[in-house]
Amino acid sequence: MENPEKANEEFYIGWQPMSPVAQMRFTRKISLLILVCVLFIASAFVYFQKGFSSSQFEYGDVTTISGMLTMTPFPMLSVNHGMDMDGQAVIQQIVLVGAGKHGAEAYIQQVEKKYGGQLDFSNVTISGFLIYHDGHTLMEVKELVPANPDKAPSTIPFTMSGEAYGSISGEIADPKCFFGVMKPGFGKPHLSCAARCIAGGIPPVLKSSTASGEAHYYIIVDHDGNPCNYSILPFVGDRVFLHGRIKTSGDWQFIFVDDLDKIVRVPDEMAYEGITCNTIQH
Amino acid sequence: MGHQYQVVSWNRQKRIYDGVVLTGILLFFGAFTLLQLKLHPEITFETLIIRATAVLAFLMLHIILCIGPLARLDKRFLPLLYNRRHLGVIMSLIALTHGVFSIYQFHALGNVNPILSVFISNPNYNSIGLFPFQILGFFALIIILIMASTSHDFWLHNLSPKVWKSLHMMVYLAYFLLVGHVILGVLQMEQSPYLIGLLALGAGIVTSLQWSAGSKKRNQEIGKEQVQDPFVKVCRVDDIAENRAKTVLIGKENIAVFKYDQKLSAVNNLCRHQNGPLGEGKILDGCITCPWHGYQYLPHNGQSPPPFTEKVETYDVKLIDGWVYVNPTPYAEGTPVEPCPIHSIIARN
Ligand code: HEM
Ligand code: FES
Repeated sequence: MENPEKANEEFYIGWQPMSPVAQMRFTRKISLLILVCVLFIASAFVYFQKGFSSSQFEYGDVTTISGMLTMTPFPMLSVNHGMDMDGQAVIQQIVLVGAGKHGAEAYIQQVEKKYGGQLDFSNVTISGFLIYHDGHTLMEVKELVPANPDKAPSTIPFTMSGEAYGSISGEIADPKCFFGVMKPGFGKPHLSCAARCIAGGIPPVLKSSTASGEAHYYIIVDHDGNPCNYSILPFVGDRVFLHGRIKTSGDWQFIFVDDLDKIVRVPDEMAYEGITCNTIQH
Repeated sequence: MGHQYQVVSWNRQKRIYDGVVLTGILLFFGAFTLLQLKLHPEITFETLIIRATAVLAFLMLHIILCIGPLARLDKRFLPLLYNRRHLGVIMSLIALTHGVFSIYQFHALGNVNPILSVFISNPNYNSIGLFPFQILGFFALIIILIMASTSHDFWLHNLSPKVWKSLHMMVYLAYFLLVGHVILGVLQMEQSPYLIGLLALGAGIVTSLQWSAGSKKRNQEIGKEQVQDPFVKVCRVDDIAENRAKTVLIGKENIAVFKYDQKLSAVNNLCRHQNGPLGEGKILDGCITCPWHGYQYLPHNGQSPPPFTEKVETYDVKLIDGWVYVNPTPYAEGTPVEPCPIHSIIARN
């Protein structure tokens, strides 16, 4: 049987200002233990999580750049960086995107209205935030102004070359987030966001990794080279096979998907992503 | 001690409690941020906030769910229970931060309403691998917010303890949804066996503690052979410590038999505040004092001393040859019952 005096002492009541001494010691020990667990969990989570990519988004850091604007299939800016050692023009293609989860198209159309004319294939100056990763560059457009029309064009017009034909497997992602705005900008947690970005007009890309881990990116367009964002929406974030012509323009590759109704998901058991065939080379 | 909500009671122990909670939160954010910046300097601010608040809120939910059964199993954990609602409210605010940042980062600034986007952006509802795990977090957050906003005693009183209690049982649903949120979300991408192990450990601790506390409750049940119509044998009178009680579950009646001042009285074991176990409390200044938050009742009539108005049911008790018997048919809440005297029996023994 308990000693009544002791029992009295040991009874904890929260509304009393002091807790019994033995109880206080115990509470202190438990609190310390919990704090140690808290520290452990914080460290363990960070330690065991996968890292993030080294992609960059220079948010708030405005860059101004001039070049030739092309609107199809998606707004892009071709920037002439002069000649290389062989006397070849060095052209950089920058994919233009809008603020948030929007493509740049709507904003450029506003600018066209304001200046009363088409800007496709004209020289413009753009200020915005650069996004870059793996040798590819995008820009979130803040401001676009047409360059002086009297000035001679400084860039070589946008062209596509090097056509191949094949099947590529990979994950459909939105390049804005994937190339730097969000970390991680891919995988399951990112699926919904990618769907919003692609529905908002940001060009979808197929990210395809070879067995050695090297990644290739293909901007996805339909058979005729037009945007097909809505047709591929159900497959965003998914691993799929895309079949069609592959073309290159500057630092970007495009896949012209043959039949958007016949996109096939990569079976789960197939771990390997990559280019499965690469047949016709022109 | 009813109607506590009328008094803003903020005492030393509550302040210490909140101080420890705050310290824990600061330690967590500090360690999490420093380590992220050291190991992953390329992390974005939004991801840091989303991840830190997510892991912290989920961890706090684990602690909250363990406190109840721990206090049941070992009374020394009662101080953790006392101010648990503050822990719950703070956890809900951290979870809300995670939810708001996640919705802003992944769903805002697009072509549809961000909340709508949570539901439609990933339509793979019929797939396990691709399931939109965010909605599980969304519903869990709704539950957590409802609970936090009704946690005040004002609501407890106005919703009736029974409704309030069932509302707060939804925390288990929220927990279940969140385990899904984590498994179908971040774990599918991370695929780290250690993170999976941590989650399994957390869920294992929560379920086993809940289970053992539940089975402790079941063990109190009285067997049929002890029935001596209509009275049921409880224990030897010597088994009850002075100013303490023995609890029994007879059918649906959860009864606490108290021994004090050479007398025995039986009242319903469930405190009218939050169903705390009165039988694990103690008689102080002549009142049964609930171990959870200190509500008080008079043993002979189950009434809280004025001006409070809480009442519990009372029962007839008798002593035969040093054995305590109780009649499990309750009197209405607050009905005075003559306490059973002990001294004569002890004298005879
Ligand atoms: C509107 C409600 C919610 C949404 C939209 C949401 C969304 C998300 C997203 C997108 C992620 C992945 C983030 C990443 O990759 O870093 C995530 C992870 C997580 N969420 Fe939630 N969540 C919600 C509610 C909750 C709640 C209420 C909790 C717990 C209290 C919670 C706990 C977690 C945990 C533990 C993770 C894994 C750690 C992490 O990756 O950050 N979530 N949630
Ligand atoms: S005082 Fe809160 S449950 Fe009894």
